[in-house]
Amino acid sequence: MNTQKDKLAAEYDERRYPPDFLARYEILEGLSVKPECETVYVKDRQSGKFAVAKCYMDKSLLSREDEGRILSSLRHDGLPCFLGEYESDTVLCVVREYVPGVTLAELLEEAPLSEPEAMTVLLQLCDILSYLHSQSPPVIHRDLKPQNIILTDDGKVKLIDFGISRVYDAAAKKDTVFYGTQEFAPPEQYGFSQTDQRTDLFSLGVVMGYILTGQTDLDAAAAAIKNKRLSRIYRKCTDFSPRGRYASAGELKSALLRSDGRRQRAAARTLTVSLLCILFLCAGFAIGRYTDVLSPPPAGVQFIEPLIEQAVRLQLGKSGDELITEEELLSVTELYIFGSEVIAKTEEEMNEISYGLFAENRMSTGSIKSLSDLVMLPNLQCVAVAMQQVDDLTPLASLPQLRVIIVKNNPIEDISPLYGLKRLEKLSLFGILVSDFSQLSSCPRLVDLDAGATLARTPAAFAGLDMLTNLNLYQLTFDTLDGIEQLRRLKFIQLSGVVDGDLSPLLILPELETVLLGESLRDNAEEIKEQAHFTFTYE
Amino acid sequence: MQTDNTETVAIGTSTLLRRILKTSNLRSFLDQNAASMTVPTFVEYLDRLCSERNMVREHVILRAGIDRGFGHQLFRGSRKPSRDNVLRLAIGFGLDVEETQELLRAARRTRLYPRYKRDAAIIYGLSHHNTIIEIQSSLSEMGMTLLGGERHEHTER
Repeated sequence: MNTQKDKLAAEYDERRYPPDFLARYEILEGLSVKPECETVYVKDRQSGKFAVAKCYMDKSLLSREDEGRILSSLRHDGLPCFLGEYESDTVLCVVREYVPGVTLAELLEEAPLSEPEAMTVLLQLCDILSYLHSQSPPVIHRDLKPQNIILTDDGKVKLIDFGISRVYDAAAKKDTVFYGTQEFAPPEQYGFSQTDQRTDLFSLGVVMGYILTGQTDLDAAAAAIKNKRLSRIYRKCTDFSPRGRYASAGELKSALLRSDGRRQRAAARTLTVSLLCILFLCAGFAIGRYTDVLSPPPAGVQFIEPLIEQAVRLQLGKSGDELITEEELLSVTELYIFGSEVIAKTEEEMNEISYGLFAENRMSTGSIKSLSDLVMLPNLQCVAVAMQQVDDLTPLASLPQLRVIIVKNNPIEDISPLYGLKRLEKLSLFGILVSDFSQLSSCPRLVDLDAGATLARTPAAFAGLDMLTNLNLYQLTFDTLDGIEQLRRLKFIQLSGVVDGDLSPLLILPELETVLLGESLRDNAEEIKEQAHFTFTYE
Repeated sequence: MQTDNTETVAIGTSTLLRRILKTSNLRSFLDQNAASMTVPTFVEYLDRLCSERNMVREHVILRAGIDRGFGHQLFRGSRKPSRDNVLRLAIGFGLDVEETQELLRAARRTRLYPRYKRDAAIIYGLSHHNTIIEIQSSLSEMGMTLLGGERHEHTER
């Protein structure tokens, strides 16, 4: 028996998946299995929670990174939560929350929806699309169809499958490859022009016709929609030319709301009645003092560092006494902390306030010693924990989504936890106690590095970082610039001093645009100014 | 149930496929097998299996290890089975792998793929006509989720 079992075990082939993905999840079912992409239903071995993983079997495919990147930056009630990303040499698995419920396609197999039911679904879809399109740059779903719309048990609508979404690139004229599902895709998705948000509105129109009539043929559906106003809205959504359609999901939503005045009044009445009921019920419970029996206090997340907690609360818009749940932490993508007082919503805001405090000499070191709280924020993309007492960066190694890390002015002696962070683009290590940065070449997207006031003495400290475009070395003096020519993509460099005074190696850098130097180097700069294809400025 | 020339009891897709490959006359094939070529509902499919295999519902439910009340709801069509429960019904009927794939298709659930470890273990159990207890215990032995351990009746594709 056992040998046969072993033989079978050899036949299945799960080894193609990233090992850390398999360690965390058990594959229960192949939902859609194609050679280039497998969507699998999985179970978290520890928590027992279900999830859906989209595994791109060949990472070199065009849309491979889109789903993960798009999902991880979005947070909306109508979209599944991004849970993580796992990678092997060839395979990329993007894991998202599993959404229990039925697909609109399944629901419609039984019967078309009534007008009020359809309206509930359509209005929610408008809200989701408004959110997606309001991103900067706008996110276009491009595959809106009944199979990708899920109605959850509590009546909410969720939009899944971002496999072919793209961030709208205003510069691109045309989409080159056809994606999407034919019946629900507008003409421009066949390559006439680039798809923008009106693409999704076309598909939403077709979905609308399908919900109301069960038909996807544009003329047949338009004729079958009984409500004349809705029929007009349908025609406008599905106009051949994007210019003839609604300009935004918000505009479509307003049109839908206007389409039936009676329904609105009825809804308002129902809402008033329900609110009154709830009010009486609450009053009843308050009198009977049953309220404390009703709901046990939900468990909140605990933080070690008060400053990190404050920054998380700022991002979530939560006051000091409100509980924070683990689920809410999934939506935190940015944190900005500088010194003991500055907690900001954006990097610009942080820089502005800090600048003011430095100018007035009122900046002081913050209390953060440990970064372990950050591990609770798996979707963190940008983090600033500047001017604190942090000496251990290890927690950052488990946050592969990080794009921006600012840990300047901390007593850090080891940056190895940052090695291999695949999405890291910008890193500020100003004032840390490290002399060699060459191993950061394992971060393939790193283009912007601030290593000012560190222990680096020659360009060799940055050997191999040939993808850098910006290198900031304020308050740092090199012995020599020899070797800088390796950093051939540099567009900007700041440097406070060079001991041998020879700036000529900069002339070899083909893309260099701006060199910002310490005042002491002005004379040396004058010497080569004539030959330079870039401009010098001074601190 | 059968007349001399035409079958009124419909047959599985694999049988149908074999007949297409063997037939020399497409038209007579299409005429003779018309009844088999309409897609049956899941409930019809279950009833068809019962009569083909001369089994009663009660017996299948017992061998599938499904709760009795729930099992009868599945046969009546008042509940839709999850994929795991379709697999349990397949074990209850004693179906082989190919027949199980057809049952999954009739229930509009995804097929078994040998490439996934858990599916591979289930395929092994089906092909050896193991009982539900044997299959569950080998899943448990290998640290995998038991049949019926997927909580959601999910429909995402």
